[in-house]
Amino acid sequence: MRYPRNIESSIKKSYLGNIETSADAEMDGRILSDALTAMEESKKENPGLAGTNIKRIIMKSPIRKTAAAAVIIIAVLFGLKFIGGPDVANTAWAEVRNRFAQIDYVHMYIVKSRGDDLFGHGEAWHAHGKTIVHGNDGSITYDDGRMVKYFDKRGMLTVRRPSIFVDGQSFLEYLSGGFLSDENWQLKEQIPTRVSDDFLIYTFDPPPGSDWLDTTSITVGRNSLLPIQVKIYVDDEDYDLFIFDYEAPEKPPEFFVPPTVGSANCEGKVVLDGEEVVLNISGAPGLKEAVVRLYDKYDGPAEEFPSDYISVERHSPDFCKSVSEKARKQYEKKGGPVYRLEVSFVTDEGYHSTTLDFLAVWLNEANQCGVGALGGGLDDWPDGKYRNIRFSPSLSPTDREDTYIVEIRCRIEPKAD
Amino acid sequence: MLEDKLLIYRFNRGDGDALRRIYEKYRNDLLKVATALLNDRSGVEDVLHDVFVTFAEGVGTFQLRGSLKGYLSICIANRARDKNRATQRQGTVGMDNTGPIRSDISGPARLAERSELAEQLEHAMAQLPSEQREIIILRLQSKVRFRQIAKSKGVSANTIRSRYRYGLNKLRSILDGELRK
Repeated sequence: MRYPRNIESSIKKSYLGNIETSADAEMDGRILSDALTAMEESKKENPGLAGTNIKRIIMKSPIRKTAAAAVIIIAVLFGLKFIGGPDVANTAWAEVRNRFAQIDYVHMYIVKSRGDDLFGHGEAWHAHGKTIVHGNDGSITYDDGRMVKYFDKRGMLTVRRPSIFVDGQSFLEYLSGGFLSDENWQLKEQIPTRVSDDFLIYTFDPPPGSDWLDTTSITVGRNSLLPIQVKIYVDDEDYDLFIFDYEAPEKPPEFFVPPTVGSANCEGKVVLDGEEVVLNISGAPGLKEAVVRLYDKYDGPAEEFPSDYISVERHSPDFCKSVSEKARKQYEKKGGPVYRLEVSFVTDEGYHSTTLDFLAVWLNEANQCGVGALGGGLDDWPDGKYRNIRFSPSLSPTDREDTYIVEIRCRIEPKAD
Repeated sequence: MLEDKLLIYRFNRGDGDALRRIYEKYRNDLLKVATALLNDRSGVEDVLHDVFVTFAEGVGTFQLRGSLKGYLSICIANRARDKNRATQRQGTVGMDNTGPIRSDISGPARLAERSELAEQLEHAMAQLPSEQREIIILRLQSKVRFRQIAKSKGVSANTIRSRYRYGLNKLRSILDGELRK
């Protein structure tokens, strides 16, 4: 016999769940009566207090305001004295950021921890404006500062989009999903929350309203003022950890060059708001044809982006709304034009897949998509076999305004993956 | 959360019904926290009483940061800690040497119904250092965020996370040892 694998769940169910708290009207009466009395007395003692707060009271009076300011100044001076030591204890984050900006080559280990599990890990190199990330699943991301290319574990180019470095983001901003922005003046002025003989630790609260980011903790070398590790909590326990290695031997320039992308599995011309086009697929076992239609194009103001951009009967209104909102946000960020593309597949056996009809596509970009059987699901094909069709469509312009080249890379992903 | 903010707004304006609603809303959860942290059933009521009376005295000035349930649970934990210390000073058996007495589960028939695991967990929880047990209970019973606990204790969130992890690991090793017997 072994201890329960999920100890937290066992504590909740078997320990805390067994604590019974039956209703006790007498106890409730006693406590509430005393609490209400205490509240009434407090109101009598502070008749003007209800609905106000101390800060407002202090700041209404010029004398109190001056006194409060004096107290704050004294507190700050005493605080500085207590911290004591060399000035390094008060090094603003901006100084660390500036030092890091001078670094032209850094190697990193990445660990993504989710609950008790190691969700993913990898290595990254950032050198001379180029970044390469090797995932533990065999995927590789290349970012040359202009375009990002993501090759999945089978070497298929599934994502292609402009690099975030184009907008002038720093590498730390990139790691933190934009949080450690150079523009954030509050971060710039922040000093370490912990100081030891060897390290400074900066702890940043999440931005207000953040629904994915929790505390960010950055350990910095006391002498070098360079980040040694960045730990970004995405929840109370889940975090992404980046460990910096400045001594790793430099990789040769070709290391940062993405492989030559082979030709797509199918390619053809589509006309805007025209007929659907059937493209013959080659080099993707099990897949015979792709059926593509270029539905429409939007290039208007972001604030007028249609809230019902994606409206598909077979999907719930909530789903359509969330997909439309996602497209609107992307449009706000990237601008137009954006195109709606519909894609479905026919297998070698002649079975039709679901039509993916909520694809918002930008010119010369590619994104990873997937579809299953016509009836829905990946197992629900007429012969009962499992087929998960992964594909990556991209659209490029031609010399005709309403005609575009569509390229699709695709394959059937086996169940084991 | 929105309801809590509204309740606090009304409470700060001296609305007794808002105080009553807050009490009714969180009473059971807070009783569980107190019961899990104390070893004296009569102390549970005292702790809940003290927390609500002190909370009521703050009318007009209370400012909610984080969750209200989390705030009240932390207040309960603080009071429970004080009470346990007071009990120890009086020469009675300390928390770390005995298992908590549970509210309504001490009868022989009820005890017989409880699973082996539940008993082992209770025994193991009682062996944890109080600071680890406190964080585990606040986290798992009241879903208090580590950041909120850390602020109340004046330490870093990482310290609280570590204590939580150490606590769970210790529980695992205690249970592992028990189950091998």
